[in-house]
Amino acid sequence: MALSLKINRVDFKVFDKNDAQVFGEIYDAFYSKIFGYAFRRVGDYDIARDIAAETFLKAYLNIHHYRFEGHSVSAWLYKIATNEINLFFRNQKYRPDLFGQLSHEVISDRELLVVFDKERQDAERDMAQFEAFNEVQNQLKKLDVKYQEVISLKYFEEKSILEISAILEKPEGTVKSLLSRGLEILRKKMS
Amino acid sequence: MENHEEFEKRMQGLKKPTPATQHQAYLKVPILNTRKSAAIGWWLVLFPLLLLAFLGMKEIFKSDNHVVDTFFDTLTVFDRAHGGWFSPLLFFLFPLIAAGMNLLSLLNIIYDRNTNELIVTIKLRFWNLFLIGIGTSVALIIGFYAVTENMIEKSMQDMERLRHIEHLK
Repeated sequence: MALSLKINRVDFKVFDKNDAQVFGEIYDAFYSKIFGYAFRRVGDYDIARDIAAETFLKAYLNIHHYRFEGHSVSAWLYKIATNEINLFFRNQKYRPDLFGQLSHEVISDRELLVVFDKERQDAERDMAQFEAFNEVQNQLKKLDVKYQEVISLKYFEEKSILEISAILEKPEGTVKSLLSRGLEILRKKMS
Repeated sequence: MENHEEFEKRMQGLKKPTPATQHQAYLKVPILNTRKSAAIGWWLVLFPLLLLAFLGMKEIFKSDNHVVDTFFDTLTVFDRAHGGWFSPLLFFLFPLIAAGMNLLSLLNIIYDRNTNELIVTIKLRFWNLFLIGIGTSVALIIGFYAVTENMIEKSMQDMERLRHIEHLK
């Protein structure tokens, strides 16, 4: 019993939705993954940070709507992040609504501004070392969002077809065909 | 030119950047506090609003509402025993605080040194604006009710006094 509870706690399939401490553990476990996902999709440090923060704010405020359907909370977080990324691609003036409320008090913290600046510079410097990735990312952004989603989840985030199907709420067959078609369009664009 | 399989292999072996997330720790506390601040805003207006609705129903349907009567009787007893500060706090100050808190979350004031201008922007967010409207309305209605009640009571006392003087004459 103790073992199963521990396992559940580790992959967050079953957890107390009213416990802020548990959500804190979820945040610790998944923030870097969600931020990385947003960064690899949009290629901008500040926007990726806003998307990640907005994702966790929305998740925290809507945690009661989360239902375990065979996947851990990770798929749910990726789903929220994907929606936020799509909002950004639809409207380039993307300004997260919930995080916007917090950002004034957060941004006024000078120590944090220094951290942001350092991370932004590091991220931009690091990106220069990933030439092949940059090329793929630039071409991927020109594709329809439905192809961007599946390709980035499969090849940037290394998710399985089953996981992608859960994140995007699309049947596995649809994911496979979107992946195959998207990859072919991307290949032609890159050749 | 690469074929589909070769391209897929290249994608599978793609080296990806993993940016640092030291900022993660700084955002955690504000994120975990959002639910509390949102809830506080609601609680500050919810209770007076509920009582206002009960009072409105009582006036419209002219029905006896024992819950409201009992509540106001208890409140009167409590107020008399503790200097009468609780009712104004609950019905006037709390809704005003809720309205103020929500207004502050929408306001952004920046001083531009170059143009010597104060730039005030107000974000349009439905729930914040809704709470500002409700909080202000509750405070105004209760305030107006308290003032008129006070005036009526005062004039009644004056009339009583006049009647008493006339009686003495």
